[in-house]
Amino acid sequence: MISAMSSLAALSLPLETFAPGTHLTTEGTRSGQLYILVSGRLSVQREGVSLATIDEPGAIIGEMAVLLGIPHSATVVAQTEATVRVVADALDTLSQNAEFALHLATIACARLNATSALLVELKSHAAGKAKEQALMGRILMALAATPKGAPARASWVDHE
Amino acid sequence: MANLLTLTTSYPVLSLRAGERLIEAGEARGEMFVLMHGHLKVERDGVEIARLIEPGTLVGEMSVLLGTDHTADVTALNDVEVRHIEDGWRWLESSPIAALHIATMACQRLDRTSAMLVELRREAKEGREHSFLERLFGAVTGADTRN
Repeated sequence: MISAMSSLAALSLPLETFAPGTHLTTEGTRSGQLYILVSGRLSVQREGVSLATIDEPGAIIGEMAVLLGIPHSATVVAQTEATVRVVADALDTLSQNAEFALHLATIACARLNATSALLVELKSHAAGKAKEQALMGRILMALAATPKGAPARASWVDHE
Repeated sequence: MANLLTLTTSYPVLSLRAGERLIEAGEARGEMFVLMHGHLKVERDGVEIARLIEPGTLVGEMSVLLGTDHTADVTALNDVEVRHIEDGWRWLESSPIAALHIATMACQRLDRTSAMLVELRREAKEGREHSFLERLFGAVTGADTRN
């Protein structure tokens, strides 16, 4: 985390502030930008389903669209006034910065790992319908955020 | 996106026969493998979660990136050859393209899984859970599932 932070700090990224209710990303659109949360609280929504709240400084927003070259799959809305650092032309930045690329790889893998563990659990509980709904919620959380107690290399929360 | 096989041509080749373990759940040694040919079975907590059959598939990257123990057993189903990267972290640190490749692959899996989970949540009452679960496993592991 420290190395990734210092590596990013060296890029001297510009700050941008969003008023409550404004969109950082809008489902279905492209921006080619990444955001790194500095302060404030954000809400993540996908197809009208609210997936997560982001309030941890250092959280990354928009990486899925950048890496996959696809439109944003989620809408991220400022719940409070929110300040972020902007990584314009994020793919260029990533392809020249192994630490930053590795950081994104690590947080994506942390989410996959957490999800995979939950799916194994879900599979063994598939018969118990009551538990299923609760598990679903946890799986969605696992996908949207790095779980608590995640390894040190993945200590940033990551969202799309 | 560069193929991992073309990025690892200088690494040694490891051969396995059917039934031999490539990775055992437990202590990790920081190594990663790139599948050249053959089929591998991935099991987690005794549940088969994936088969890796696509040349260029990376194996073992989770524990390297996360600094954790291996959470799955990986076993050869037939004659298998892999490229052996002994110090996976160092390789990734020196190659932004490889790191970006892994990030992209992981995000593809997350994206597909996430879309399915949204759908699953909607259809949860329609009793199609089982086949859906199989698809979930395929998405999250980036491989076909067999059960």
